[in-house]
Amino acid sequence: MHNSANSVKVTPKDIVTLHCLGRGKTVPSPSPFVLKLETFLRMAEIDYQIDTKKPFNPKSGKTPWITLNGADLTDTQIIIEHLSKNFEKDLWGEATSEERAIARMTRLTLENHFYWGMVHWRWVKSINTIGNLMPIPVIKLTVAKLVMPRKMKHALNVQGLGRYSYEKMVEFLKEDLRNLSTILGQKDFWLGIAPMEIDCTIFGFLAQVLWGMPGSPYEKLLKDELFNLEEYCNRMREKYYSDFSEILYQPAAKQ
Amino acid sequence: MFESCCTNCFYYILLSLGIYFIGKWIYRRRQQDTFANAKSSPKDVVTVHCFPSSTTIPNPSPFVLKLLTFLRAANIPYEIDNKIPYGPNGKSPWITLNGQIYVDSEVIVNHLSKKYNNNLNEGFKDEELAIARTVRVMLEERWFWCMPLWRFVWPQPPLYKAVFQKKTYDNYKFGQRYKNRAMLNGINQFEKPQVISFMLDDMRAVSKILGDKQFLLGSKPCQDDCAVFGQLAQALWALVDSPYEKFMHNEGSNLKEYCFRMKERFWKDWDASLLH
Repeated sequence: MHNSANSVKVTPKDIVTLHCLGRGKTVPSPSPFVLKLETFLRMAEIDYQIDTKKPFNPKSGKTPWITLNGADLTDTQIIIEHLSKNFEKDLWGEATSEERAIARMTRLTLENHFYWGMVHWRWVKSINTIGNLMPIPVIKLTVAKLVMPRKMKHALNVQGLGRYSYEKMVEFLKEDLRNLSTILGQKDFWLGIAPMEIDCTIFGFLAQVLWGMPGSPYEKLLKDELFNLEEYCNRMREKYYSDFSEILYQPAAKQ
Repeated sequence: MFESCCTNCFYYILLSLGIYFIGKWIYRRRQQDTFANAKSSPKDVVTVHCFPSSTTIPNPSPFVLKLLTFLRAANIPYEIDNKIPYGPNGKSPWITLNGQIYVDSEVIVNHLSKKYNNNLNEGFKDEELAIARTVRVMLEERWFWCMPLWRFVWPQPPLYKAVFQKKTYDNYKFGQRYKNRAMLNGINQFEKPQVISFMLDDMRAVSKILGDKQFLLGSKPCQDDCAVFGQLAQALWALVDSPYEKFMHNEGSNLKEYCFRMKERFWKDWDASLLH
């Protein structure tokens, strides 16, 4: 049961309420963390519903967050581990502890390094096309275009990637993608023929590159060179998002 | 009268802008002069500009230790300068070589590796090197945060004495600097026990990947071993009484042995390199 209801009044027992920003126009969620979490919920066959009215957790201010049986939780990795325990779902299959360790390294590299390249592309380099990614009211869009590039440049400066030239930064981040491609090789999924928990994170990020960063050097790299990553994304999309086109944001007039 | 008031305002604004831009230009020129006049070494000798060594480790910065270990592994001669630790991009370490300035430890390592044709990665497969790179990036981008949190953000006052010479580091106000950065990074949103738990899980993962190999990828060190050593050595020698140090001595003993192996190979003069 995947319900995109905008208002959640009564939540049945054991149904996860996923609080997040709305659907994207070209990708089910423009946030790699939301897509990671939603892919996990689908992979683990845990019933959920989406709430876009309160995307930010009232206590921590972070997004996404969930409510389950009255209890709130933030941070996608903490959520995934909690839900795996709660619903007794082990999405690691036959993976060895070394494979799980490499998967952890990969996840953290994407979440702490590549993520910032995505932020730079969307909110600095390609800020004028942000409206093509997700629906933003005109006034908010105008303010965002004025405020966000400066704010994100500062965040990137603090993180470190912002202190390189744009070309150097892209070079480093393309290496992250090449790394992914090398480790994936010819396998269907990250750790072999069956998808596992790590695939949720990798798909969450690669889907952004392929469908949520048009015109970026990263999209170009996937389409021109790293074909195995493009095929991997399509494989994950076919398996878990057969309703991909239906769940994308549709303007109200068309409904 | 209103007109002359407006004209005066206009001139005042113009003057202020003029003073601001001229001041900025002078400041930038002086900065450039500072960097250009920084200590330089003989031809083909790298000058590493960084913070001083400490009493327990040749350098308490994992990036400096990475760079120095690489220079030793690649047999590139170097000298150290502590007078201007922050480089033109506001980060440390940075180097000068034959009059040229280079910033960022990874950029420097890659550049020198190419320039001196000293490829520590020779003989390893692409997939192995990809895994080593992933370990390095994880440690440098994520696990690295356990250090400033443990040293400068959590303890009040910041923990300078245990590792550094207090006067030198006090001036740089690491406490506030890293508190702000940690908030922006996101790691500081979690409570201390959660952060420690994350960091220990990261170390467990590195320990699993290393296994019983001598170095990350086998019996000889690759380029990323310098970076991994630079990070893990801090846990063993420069995060005194921390859960990370305890981990190295107990569950992560293969990481401890790895550090000793790297120290034995590249830092035979370890004791002489410490601050006395």
